[in-house]
Amino acid sequence: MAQGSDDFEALARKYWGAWGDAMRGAMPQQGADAGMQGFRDALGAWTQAAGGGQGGFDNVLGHFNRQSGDWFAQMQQLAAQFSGRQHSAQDVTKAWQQLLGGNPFQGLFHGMRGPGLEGLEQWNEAAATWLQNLRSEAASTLGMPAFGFTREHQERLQAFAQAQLRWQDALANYNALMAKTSQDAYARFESKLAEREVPGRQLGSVRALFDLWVDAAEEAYAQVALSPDYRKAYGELVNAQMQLRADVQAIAEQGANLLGMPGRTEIDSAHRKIAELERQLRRMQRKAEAGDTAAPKPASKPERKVSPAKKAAKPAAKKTAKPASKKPAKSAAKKTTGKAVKKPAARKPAKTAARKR
Amino acid sequence: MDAFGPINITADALAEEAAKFQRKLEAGIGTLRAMDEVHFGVTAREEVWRDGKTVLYRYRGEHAPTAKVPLLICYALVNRPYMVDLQADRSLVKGLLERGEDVYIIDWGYPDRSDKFLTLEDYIERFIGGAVDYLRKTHRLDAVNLLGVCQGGVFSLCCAALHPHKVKNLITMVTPVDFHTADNMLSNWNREIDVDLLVDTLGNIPADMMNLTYLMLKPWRLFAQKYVGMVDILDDRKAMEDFLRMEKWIFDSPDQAGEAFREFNTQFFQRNGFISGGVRIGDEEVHLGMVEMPVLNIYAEQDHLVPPDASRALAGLVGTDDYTELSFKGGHIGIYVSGRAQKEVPDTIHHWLAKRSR
Repeated sequence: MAQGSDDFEALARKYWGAWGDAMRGAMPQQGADAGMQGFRDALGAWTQAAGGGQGGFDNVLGHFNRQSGDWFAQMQQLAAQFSGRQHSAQDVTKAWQQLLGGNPFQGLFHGMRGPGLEGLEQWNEAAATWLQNLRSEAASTLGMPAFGFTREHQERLQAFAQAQLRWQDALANYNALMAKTSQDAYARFESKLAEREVPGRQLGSVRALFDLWVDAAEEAYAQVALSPDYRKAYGELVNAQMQLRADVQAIAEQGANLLGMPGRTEIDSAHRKIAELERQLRRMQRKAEAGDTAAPKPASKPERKVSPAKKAAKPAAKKTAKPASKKPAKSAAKKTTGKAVKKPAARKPAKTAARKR
Repeated sequence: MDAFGPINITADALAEEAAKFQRKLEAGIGTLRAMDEVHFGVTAREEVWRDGKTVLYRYRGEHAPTAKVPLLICYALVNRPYMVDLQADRSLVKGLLERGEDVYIIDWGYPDRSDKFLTLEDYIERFIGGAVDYLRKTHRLDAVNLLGVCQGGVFSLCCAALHPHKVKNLITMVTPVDFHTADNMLSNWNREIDVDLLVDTLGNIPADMMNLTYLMLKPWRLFAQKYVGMVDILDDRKAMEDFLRMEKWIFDSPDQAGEAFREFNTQFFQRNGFISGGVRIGDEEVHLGMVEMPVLNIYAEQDHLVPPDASRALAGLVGTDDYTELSFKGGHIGIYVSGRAQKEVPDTIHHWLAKRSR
């Protein structure tokens, strides 16, 4: 086996041996704390040994190591704290909250990064230095009326500074909502743990404990993610980010223009013309072909020309032709059979008759 | 040991679980190092038509097709179409070919910046319409069978409504029709977004942003639990190959052409156009009442992307008297790759088509 895997095995033996000793020892609390870093080191070594730079699964291993391995390690630490000790659902939840902090969602979203998973915040961080420079330049002019030879430049910088403030507010609002959701997730976790206090329903593995947390967190998240509050906070987060980005792009394009470099607007303009010309050409081709023949073989049925009047009448006609009372019966049948269900016949007698004529 | 609370894990059990975790990781090194790059798409195919980056493929089974009318599969823009032909034992395409269908798939390719101004009219009239016309011409038929998947189902409904004489039978799979059902998370998130600002700023919508959005639908399951669960199969090469193939598909996403994204989000996610009316493709208005050919609507009961109610709404909107539904016990992806799907879905499609091809 290659050198990398030998290294991993040696490190893993050392770590897992220490972990096992600690678990069997008298002070699981100490053992758990000592084990966290070792667990991370072992996973890091494993990721390197297993990946070997192969593009197909390096990404997966990266996500695993960065995120899931860490969560599992923390859950292992949590379980170790209560192994063989008197505890309640509340104790476990409190300890879990101490490990993760007030907003574990934020931690999770931070982990959703890396090649292929760039988010809004990441872009902001990547551009942070430049944004900071621009901001300090813009701060003094923010809110003042622009005038004189540089008024257009001043206005651009003012808009940029305002957009950055808007983005920060939007991010803060979104994080606040997620912090609230985190509290709900902890409450649900505690409630689920309480259900497991009954002998025979207790959790017998770290994985089961982890899965229970995931259930609680997903339930809390789903509830908020379907709410009008989330819609508003998420919408504003995206909109604020886009406005900020648009303002930065405008400034960058202005700079590029000074150096005689083509900007996005210029290239887009050319692409738009090409796309429009191509679309017009296709429309003309379709019309010409439709004028010739529908298909090379003479159609068995002539192409039906639908009059605008019929088109317009269609939706209205359908509404009256489909009694709503038929739907519940069909749904019931579907649920009982789980098989393909055919639509009841004679649903639209008037239309069918008309079509036959 | 006596029970002291909800956690009943002894120190020995903890140590054993950790040791098992280590054994799996150790075995995983051997498994992963012995594996090649991920392979996908198993069925032989040939390019038969092309327009820009869009390619129409004809799939070849072991036997010549017995169906007289070709079946054109139209996939969504947001992922790659090889989901329907992922691997030998998970392939809707293979299942359909084995039953005698003549299968074609439109591959949209990967749009770049020069494709930013492609509109829904381009996708529906130029690409789907072009492929349909090619099939009508080469098969010497008036109409072909059309199968639309997810967003591709929305496109197929538009195409069928605008050109009902060119579509003999229409199949929609996990297709959203009512975008404003209460359980539609994606739609909820889209409603307050300034789509014009988004597209004007980004141009094309990056695949990374799309992927992040889908992961955020179930962040703990899709980003934490899934990879912890992966440890269980690290010593199973076949299971790891399947896992990595699926990973490849999930993250192998094309960017979205900006204008088409703008139109789709505005007309469907925000205005719920099929329900409230006013969907326009180019200069034409779409009325689902014009969908008069037989329709088979297949949806998944545990679909977190397209809730069942979003698909079932089609029943009350299409103009056909020949409407059939299949409720599949599974999720948005399971409908293609689960073990049960391999028989149930192609069987249903084939028998349904066979009855209507006489």
